[in-house]
Formats: sequence, structure tokens, C-alpha cells
Amino acid sequence: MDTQTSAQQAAREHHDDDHYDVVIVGAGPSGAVTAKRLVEAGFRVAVVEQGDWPDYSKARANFPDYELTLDRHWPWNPNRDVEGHGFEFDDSASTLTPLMWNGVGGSALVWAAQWQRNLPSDFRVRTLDGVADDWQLTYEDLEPFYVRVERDFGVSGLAGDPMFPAGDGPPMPPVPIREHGRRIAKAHNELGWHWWPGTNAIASRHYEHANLKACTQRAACMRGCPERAKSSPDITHWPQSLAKGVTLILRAQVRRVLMSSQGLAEGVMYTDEHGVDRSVRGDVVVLAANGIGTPRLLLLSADARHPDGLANGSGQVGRRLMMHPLGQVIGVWDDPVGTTHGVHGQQLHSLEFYETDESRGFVRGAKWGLLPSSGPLTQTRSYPWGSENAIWGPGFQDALRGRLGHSAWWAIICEDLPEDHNRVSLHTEKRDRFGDPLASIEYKTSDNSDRMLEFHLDRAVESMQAAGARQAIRGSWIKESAFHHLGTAVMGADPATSVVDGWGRAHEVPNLFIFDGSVWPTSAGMNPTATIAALALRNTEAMIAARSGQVTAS
Amino acid sequence: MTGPFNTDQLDLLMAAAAWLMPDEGSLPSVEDAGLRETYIAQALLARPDGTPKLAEFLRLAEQDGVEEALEHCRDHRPELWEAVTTILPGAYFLSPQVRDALGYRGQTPQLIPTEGSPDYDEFLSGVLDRGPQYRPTPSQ
Ligand SMILES: Cc1cc2nc3c(=O)[nH]c(=O)nc-3n(C[C@H](O)[C@H](O)[C@H](O)COP(=O)(O)OP(=O)(O)OC[C@H]3O[C@@H](n4cnc5c(N)ncnc54)[C@H](O)[C@@H]3O)c2cc1C
Repeated sequence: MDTQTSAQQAAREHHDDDHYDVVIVGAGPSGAVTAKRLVEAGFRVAVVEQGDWPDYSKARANFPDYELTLDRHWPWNPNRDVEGHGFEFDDSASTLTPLMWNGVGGSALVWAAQWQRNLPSDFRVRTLDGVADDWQLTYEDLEPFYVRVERDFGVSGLAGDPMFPAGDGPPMPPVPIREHGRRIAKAHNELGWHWWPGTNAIASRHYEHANLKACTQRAACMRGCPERAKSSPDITHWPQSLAKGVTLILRAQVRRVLMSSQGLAEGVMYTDEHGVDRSVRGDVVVLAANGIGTPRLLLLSADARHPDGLANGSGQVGRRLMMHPLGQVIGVWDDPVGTTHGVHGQQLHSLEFYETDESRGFVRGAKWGLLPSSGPLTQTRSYPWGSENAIWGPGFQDALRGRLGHSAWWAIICEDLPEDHNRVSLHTEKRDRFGDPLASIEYKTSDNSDRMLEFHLDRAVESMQAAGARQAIRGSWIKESAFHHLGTAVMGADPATSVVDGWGRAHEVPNLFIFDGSVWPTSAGMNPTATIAALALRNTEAMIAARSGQVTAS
Repeated sequence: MTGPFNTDQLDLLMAAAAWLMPDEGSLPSVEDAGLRETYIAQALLARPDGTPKLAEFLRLAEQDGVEEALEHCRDHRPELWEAVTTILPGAYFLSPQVRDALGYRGQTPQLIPTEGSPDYDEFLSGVLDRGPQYRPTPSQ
């Protein structure tokens, strides 16, 4: 019996009169880290998740129709989900579409598993660069938690990257570097530019601790890993947590946080798969529903005492949405560079232009991750070739031959700074199937981000050229590329300007916590899950330590 | 294998496939690749959501001609363009003739060696020699 089947069998049933110590909304990485630590500490925990378990019988990376079936079985845009996995939002007023997966494991089911810690400067943006805000914690505060979540998620990589403070690295060695990675590494050495073997939540070995098998480098398999080598909490966390007694309530869309007359959280109200309204009650509520789902739920939970939404006295709920504009530069080589295989994941990363240098005309920076261009159908897609991918018509066959196995790309994650007008709000007209307003996304990039993107695209072209690429293509803007959603329930010391404190506790509701990426004051230029997970662990342990003094509605 | 479309409709889909992926001699043509007999139907089995979209595309193609319909979809009907440029090339890449001609063996496994020295060693000194590059946390 596989781990998922036995986990499902171990699952406890929820009855509406059950009472829990902690109720968590969302079963993605942040909810998974939180639940695991709490149940280990003896807490009674219920987790409410609107989606379901992933179906790995549809993980077809070892079948010829894999690329064709990807968007059917493993869609990353809930609005284009042909099998109806999850919730919708309105992104017509946004230049980016937020991507996600709704279900056990959360968006990590479709992630690239590039695992990046933030840098020390990411926590001190105001002090160092005079913009936005500092975090309520430092890199050093988070470092021990990074080390622990790297063990629990089964991360592979190499310690000793000079772009980071020294310390323990991931538990597994990095994945092999293929020809395209070697060429870039050599070129960067010649240019005097940084690179380092990629860190990925992908097992390079059989890794019992997190139920992971070794990756077999099928390359195109970013979504739906048939080996279970790509880490996601449905594999790494939930089986263990369910075995220890966590109650996981699935196909259950949370629609309101329930509040007592004293203004404390009492649990959540959800609608189950049969359309029946139900509740789950607990002493503490933790939101782990991501940077779109969490602010939506807070806004939906408005009541007489909180007319503008729960925990929203500051007016900051939903604001400061940061989604990391993505840049792509694709190198095409004359000879094969091994890009139909390898992890999908990152071969290498470069942080050469990560730290601020104001002479460039912008502040902050971006991380680059090097990916293979994968199988034949991917050569014709807008991701990564850009929405104006011009491959059709005369020249198709040569272009295809030229790309397949001969091309790799830099994925450039630009830090965007928080701006009030980039936000999640409740749609004034559009409703979901239960009649609740959809999340409405308003987002556009700032001049700082636009200049940053241009600069980085130019440098990445130079990187590809230095590595001998015959062509270095700047992929055009892809709307469907917002993998990360951060900042919409910001942490801070001042209740007038922030939603939660430095431990994720809502200023206005002392038994309501937010443990996902919504709380980030700034977005860093890194893939965020390492920091989301480490922060969830740190804040969960603080919650456990403060247990005896915790105010509750009961 | 019979799919959801009749012969006339298949003619139009084949014309669309040839417009997107013309026969230029270095890979099998869409006809030789077996799209008509086998792979369009097989692609639609894998992506049944494509059938109604291709049907809508066909209505446009019957009315205005294949080329005009394709250009119209590309410029004004992104959801139809997406379906046509997924199902038809998807069908093409299902064909073993095409995969052979490309030398593409599919997503075959390549096990990660667990022994031997790491393949990055020869390059790493170039980065390490530069020493720490990050900005440390400023003291309060
Ligand atoms: C295509 C893609 C690629 C990515 N690649 C990377 C990468 O390489 N590296 C990286 O670090 N990050 C990556 N990410 C981001 C990463 O997936 C997220 O940072 C991470 O999953 C966030 O974890 P989370 O638990 O906070 O939120 P999520 O994983 O989004 O989980 C939130 C969960 O809450 C549930 N939920 C929301 N609202 C409700 C409600 N009202 N009721 C019940 N349940 C609810 C959702 O269904 C979902 O399961 C990627 C994301 C995508 C989409």
C-alpha cells in the first residue's frame, strides 16, 4: 500500500461537535508544516482544505501523452481547470494571473520545487535600501528553521554557497549538472559571475525521512511526478501527520471565520462537498490559504464588529500584493546540451545581480534559476518561450529541431516592492458556486520592477552568449506566470499599518494566526516556499511555547 | 481509430496542422505522421476538453477557410488558438515516426549515480575564490 492510500485510511472523521486546539485552513506547505509540528507537540488539530488528494494515476511523465495531458490533470490556473479542481478568481484587472493548486499538498503539487532561502538583506530592505519595510525577524532568526524544514521536505543541494552565510546545508547532494549547466557554470566563471549548483526539493537519493524516491530525471515532469521524487506535502508531511491524529477535512470550502461576541475566533464555517454548511471549532484558528485565499477569507468574514473585514483595522488586508514578475531568457545551442532530461527543478542558480546596486537605476534584484527546455510540445508553448512564441508556419521543423535538446532557460524572479494599489479585494459582481464574491486581483508592475526586469534580461542574454548559445531569446511577457503571491496580510509592529505581528498573530484577534506568504513585508527575489515553510515552523513553535497564556473564546 | 470528426472535418484539421507545421522535408509531414488515421483521435482521447473547441474552430474554418480561421483565432480567440495549437502538435508528437525522426525517446528515466565524484567540482573553485558576496544583517 502506498503512503497516500494508508494516509487516507488513517484519516479521522470530523463531527461538528468536535473541538480542537487548533483549526488550520489550507493543506499546502504552510498548513502542512504547522499541523505536523502541532500534532508532534500533542495538540488536537483539524485542517480544512477545499481540494482533494492528488491522483497520481494521472502522473503520466512516463507516457507519450504526458505533455499533452499536463494542463488537464495538473492545471496551475484554477480558472482554466478543465476537471474543476478549485476556486476561481477574477484577474481581468491584473497583468499577471496567480497560479496555484488547490488540494492536499497545495500549490507544491505543481511547483518547480526550486528551493531558495532568502538572503539576510531580504529581511532588512528599509535599513539597507531605504525602501518598503524591514521584517520583524532576521535571517539569523530563521536559519535553524530553514535547516529543519530542508530535512522535512527532502531538499537536495550543496552547502557553502558564498552568497549565503555559512551553515548547514540540505540533507541530500545536488542533482547532476548536465551539459547546459556546465556551459553556463564555465561561462559565469569566465565572466566572474556567481553561480551555484541548484537547490531543489527534489530527492537525489531515496529519502526515507520524507517518503521520497530518487528522481529519475525525466525533465518534463515539473507537474505530476510519477516517482514521488518531487517533494510536496501530500507525500512528505500529511501521511505522518494523519498517522499521529490530525483530522483532515477535504472538499470543504471555508467561507467564514466564526467569531465570538468577545471578538475572538471560535473556528470556521465551511460548505462541504454536498453543499451542506458545517463548522469546525477550535481554540485557535490558523490561516494557511495563500496570499490570495487568506485575504479573501478575512474580507469575507466581515461582521458588525469588523465591517471592513476581519483583522483589517489597518486597511491592509489584501493590499501590497507582490507576485514576482518573471523574466525568461532561452539559450539555443548548435549542439545537444542535454535538455530533454534532468530535473525540472533548477540545475544552477545565479545571484550575481541579486543585491542592490543603485547605479543600475533600480533597487533590489532578482534570482536566476537554470531549467531544461524539456520535451517537444514544450518547445511550442508560451511557457517559457513567451506569449509571442513564433514557431508556427514556415521554418517550424528546423526551429523545433533546433530547440529540442538544444535549449535551456534562465527563469528570472524579480522582487517587486509592496504597493497599496496591487491588491486582492472582493469582486463587486462575480460570485462563486456558493454565492460568495470571487477574489478580484488588481496588479501592475512598478517602474522599479520594469527597469529591473529589463536589466536582468539583458544580463541573462549575455550569460547565454558567453556560454556559446547561438541564439539568446528574450521571452515576451507571459500573463500566466505568477507562481508566488505574497504580502496581502502584512506583518509589522504597528496595528495601524499591519495585520499581524512578527509571530503571525492578528493584532485585532489574538487567537487568529496567519502562517502563509501573506505576511511578508517585502517579497525578496527568491522562490518563496523555503521561507514560507521556515516561518510557519518558527511561528508554530512560538505558538506552542505561548500555549498557557493563549486567550481563547472557550 | 475513428475520432469525433468526419472526413470533411478531418480534411480541415489536417490543413490546419499543415499550416502550423508545414512539410519541409526534415521531419515527417502531418499526413505521413498518421495524424488523419490515428493521432488526432488519440490526442482528443487524452484531451477530451479539446473536442468542443476544435468543433468551434471547424465552424469558423468551414465559413471562412482554414487560414483565415487560424489567423482569426490567433488574434481574437485565444482559447481556440490554444486548443488548436495544443491538440494538433500534441497529435504530431504522439506519432512514433516523428519521435524517431527527432531522436526523441520520450521521458525515459536516467538514474542519478550515487557514486563517483560530483560533476561540479572542477568548476566550483571559480565561485569559491570570490569569497562571501552577500550583505550581512546590519547590526542594530
Ligand atoms: C506553477 C507553480 C510553480 C511554483 N514553483 C515554485 C518553486 O519552484 N519554488 C518555490 O519556492 N515555490 C514555487 N511555487 C510556489 C509554491 O507552490 C508556494 O509558495 C507554496 O505552495 C505556498 O504554500 P502555502 O501552503 O502557503 O499555499 P498553497 O500551497 O497555495 O496552499 C494553500 C491551500 O489552501 C487551500 N485553501 C485556500 N482557500 C481555502 C478555503 N477558503 N477553504 C479551504 N481551503 C482553502 C487551497 O486549496 C490550497 O490547497 C510555485 C507555484 C506554482 C503555482
